Amino acid sequence: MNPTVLIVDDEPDILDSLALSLEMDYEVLTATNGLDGLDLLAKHQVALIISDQRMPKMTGVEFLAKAQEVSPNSVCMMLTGFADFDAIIEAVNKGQIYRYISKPWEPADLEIDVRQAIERYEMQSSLTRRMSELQALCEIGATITSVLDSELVIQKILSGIVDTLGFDRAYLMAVDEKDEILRSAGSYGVSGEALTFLNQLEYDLKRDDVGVVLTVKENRPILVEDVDDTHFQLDNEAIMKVGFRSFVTAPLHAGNRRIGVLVADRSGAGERVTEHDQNLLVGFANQAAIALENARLYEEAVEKKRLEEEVGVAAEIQKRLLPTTLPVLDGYEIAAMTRPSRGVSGDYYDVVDMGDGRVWIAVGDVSGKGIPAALTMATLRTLFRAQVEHNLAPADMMKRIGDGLFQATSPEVFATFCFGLLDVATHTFTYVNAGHPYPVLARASGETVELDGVGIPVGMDPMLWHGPYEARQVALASGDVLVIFSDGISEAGASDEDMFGEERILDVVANHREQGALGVQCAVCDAVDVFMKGQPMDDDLTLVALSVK
Amino acid sequence: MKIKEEIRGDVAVLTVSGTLMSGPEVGPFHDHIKKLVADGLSKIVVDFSKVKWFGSSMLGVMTASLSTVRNAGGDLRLTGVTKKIESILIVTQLASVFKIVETIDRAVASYKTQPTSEAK
Repeated sequence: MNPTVLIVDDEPDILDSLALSLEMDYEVLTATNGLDGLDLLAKHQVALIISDQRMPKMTGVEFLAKAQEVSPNSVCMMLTGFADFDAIIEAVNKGQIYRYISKPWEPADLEIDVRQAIERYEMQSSLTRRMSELQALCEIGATITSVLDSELVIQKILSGIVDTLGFDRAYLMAVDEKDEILRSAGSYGVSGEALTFLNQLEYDLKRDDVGVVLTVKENRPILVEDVDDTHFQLDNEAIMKVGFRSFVTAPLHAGNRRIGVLVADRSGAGERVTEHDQNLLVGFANQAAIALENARLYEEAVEKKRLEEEVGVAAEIQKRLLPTTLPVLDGYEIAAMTRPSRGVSGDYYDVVDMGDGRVWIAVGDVSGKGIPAALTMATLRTLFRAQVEHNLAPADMMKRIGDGLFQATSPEVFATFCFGLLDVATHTFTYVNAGHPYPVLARASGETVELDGVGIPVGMDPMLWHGPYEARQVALASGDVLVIFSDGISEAGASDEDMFGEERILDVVANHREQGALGVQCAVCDAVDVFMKGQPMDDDLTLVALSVK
Repeated sequence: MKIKEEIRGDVAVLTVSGTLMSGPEVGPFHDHIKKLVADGLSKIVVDFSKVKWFGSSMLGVMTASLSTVRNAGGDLRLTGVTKKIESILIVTQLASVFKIVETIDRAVASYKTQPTSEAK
């Protein structure tokens, strides 16, 4: 449609003459006075207003001043006679008039002036439109980045594309890096069969023949003005089922991370997307990507906090699985400690007083770390305590614990385990070892002994080693100290060249033997701390000491 | 973890490298073994010359892999074992469960003279 020109002049001859000159190229509206002119302005979108100055009731300058309020984007020109110059100059200086046309006018000059005035109008309109688009982008940008719920962000993004940016329909597909798939994540303005189809749509990211996948992989938008006339490869089934006619895609990337792709279309008959639309969508996509990334990071932070709290609770539960008090025995002292490296631990120790002068002492170390190891530790404890109730030989107990743990856990999970029975009456310690670091015995005589054993860790496939475990016995005398420890102690600092090692443990135990079980326990812990020089431990530390008074 | 695979006849030689210290890193090893067994390859040689040390998770994965290949009539033999790794195997009493061989060639050849392990 041609641009509209409004001519206001109280002299009908002038009005007709001007209208005649212009109606070939423009839509012409006429009025004989200011009020009628304002009326027409209110009803039509006018690009150019040409007004006479000398009119009864309302002068041209007065009319144009009011006209600017009603239609600020219209360009104004004034018809003048010689005597009106002062008024004209005032109006020009006030910025109300673009040019004046002096009567009589040259038709050729008039044509040029009008054409330039119209161009000016179109330029200003375009600028105004772009300003409001930028403002809209800013506003929805602010809206979507203020929301931290992923689902809600997606909905706001898609509704923003349609309601604020002016597309007909919007659609978002998200990248699933793990499955290497591009998957539907939401739509707006789509309904019925098209919606059902879109909701289940997914593409393998390895494909190179689908527009949206290429958008994501190559990080560039695609503009398809007409699906029937494009060189891009498209999914024809999707085009048909969803009724795409003219659409644009924009990638959603945040830093290095590929988030997905936005698709916006114009589906009305004869409507097409333009390069301007593409720029708009791309500009918006940048903000959308930030908003989506913010929401994701926030959700991750919340989840992380929740897990940390759960680990805290698990650690409390696990503390109760360890002895809260140690038995007081005639002639013996028992001390024990454990220090998890990560909240919850895979180390286990136990001291079970049978009440008849026999006391079981056990130390175990489950493979791996953290919560999985802690759960297995609980299983190991249950298995051990159950076996303690029967009156089987220690070697048989170990076999059964091994079978039980193998059945209760995945094949990669195992525990090294060493336990023994202290008989207060006979002053003997009968023990069995399943792959656990050999306990040390520092005798009053100065002799140090490693309590060796035979047998693989518990929880491994029994077919790998048929046994049997071998129980051994040592006699205990006054002044002896026996220490069972987990490899967190012997292997402290193992990632560096030197580790704490069994030799050092033996030395410390022998040197502090006379301080009894608790003294030895503290001495070993202190020695490890000194050795580690404040570096964090990456394994759990556990130790049980038994001293003979 | 990186696993470099070389097939020599009916023996698969795997060279491992990486930090091998925790659960998520070492899981792929057993998966790799299971796939080899599914493809009919159960005679495995694992070379550790690029590894200085590993954690208990890796040990568990190795024993689980050993049981997988033995159940398929094969075996898993180790080469390139450093003193530190050998000490882990000794302390856990697994040194006699795994066959440790000096070189890859000898390990591959051992499958001719001793096709399967003798479970003790």
